[in-house]
Amino acid sequence: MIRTIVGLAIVLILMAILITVVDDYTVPSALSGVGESYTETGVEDTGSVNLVTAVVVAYRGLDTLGEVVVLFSASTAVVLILTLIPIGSGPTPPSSIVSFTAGILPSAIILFGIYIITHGHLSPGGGFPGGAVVASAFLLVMLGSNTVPGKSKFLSSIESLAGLTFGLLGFWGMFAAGQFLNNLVLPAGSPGRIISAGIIPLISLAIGAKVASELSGIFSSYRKAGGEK
Amino acid sequence: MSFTFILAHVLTGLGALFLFASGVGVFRMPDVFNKMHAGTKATTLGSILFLSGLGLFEPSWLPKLLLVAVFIVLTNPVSSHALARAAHNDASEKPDNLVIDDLEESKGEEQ
Repeated sequence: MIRTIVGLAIVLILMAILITVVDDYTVPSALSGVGESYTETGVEDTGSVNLVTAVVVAYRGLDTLGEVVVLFSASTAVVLILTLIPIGSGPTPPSSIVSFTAGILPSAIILFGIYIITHGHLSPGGGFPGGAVVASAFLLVMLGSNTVPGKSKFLSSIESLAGLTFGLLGFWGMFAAGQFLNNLVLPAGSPGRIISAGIIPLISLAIGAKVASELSGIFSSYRKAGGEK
Repeated sequence: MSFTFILAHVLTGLGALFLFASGVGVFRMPDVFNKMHAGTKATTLGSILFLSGLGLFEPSWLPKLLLVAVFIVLTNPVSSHALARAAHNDASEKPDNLVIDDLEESKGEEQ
């Protein structure tokens, strides 16, 4: 009874707040400030047709580098905790339905992930979502098998290489154009083509490889923490 | 008001109805397997109906929407199947009124 009353009160308060917010809101007829300058000069500045990617990778590239560091430390923490505390009692053998699907779907998923990564400057997408899609294919392969992955130098090398590429591209901009992560050390090309937009596609590739290898590393360390059957 | 226009409206409306019913089912059903039943079957049918309705609105999108539908048909049942087996392995998820349990029996035969 008390729970219902408290819940109802919270809903009413939230409704009141929402109404006051909506009441004052008028739909802006034009962009203002930084949004206006992004939309006016964005394509010219970066060569990227997708302005979201232009903001994320070019204008705010340093923030993205920070995000990559956040993801890296999170995955390191997960792996560390999972190696310290073993969980479960070995992998459950997959049913035939799961192992059949794991045989046919991953190639299509990886292809789609690579499409998302490489078209980040043309259509919605980019390194983060594309990398997550590729990692999900890895997860599906792992779910379809009954084995525990061994120690893999490959994943951690890919991860380090991708992070290093991101940093080096940043320094290249600093030395060639006097600005860390300057986008136009490579030519902008003609906007809308796949090879255009300066270093944005390269950074997307680096982020995609890093996200995919980090998430795959998290999945495989979960399975390792489960131990052998 | 052409025939395809009306059909597209009917299909998207039906799809939305199925998706809504699935949401209500996940909220109202008593245990994990019943919730999963509501959350999987109805969403598969609901999204296919919705996608085909969209395809009638915009015929140029039809090939892409068909790909999405094929992907949903391939993944949605398989993932819920895997989740249901995982839930079955966890004894605490077993409902009290479970009378016929074929999966448990087939496990006994294998060993």
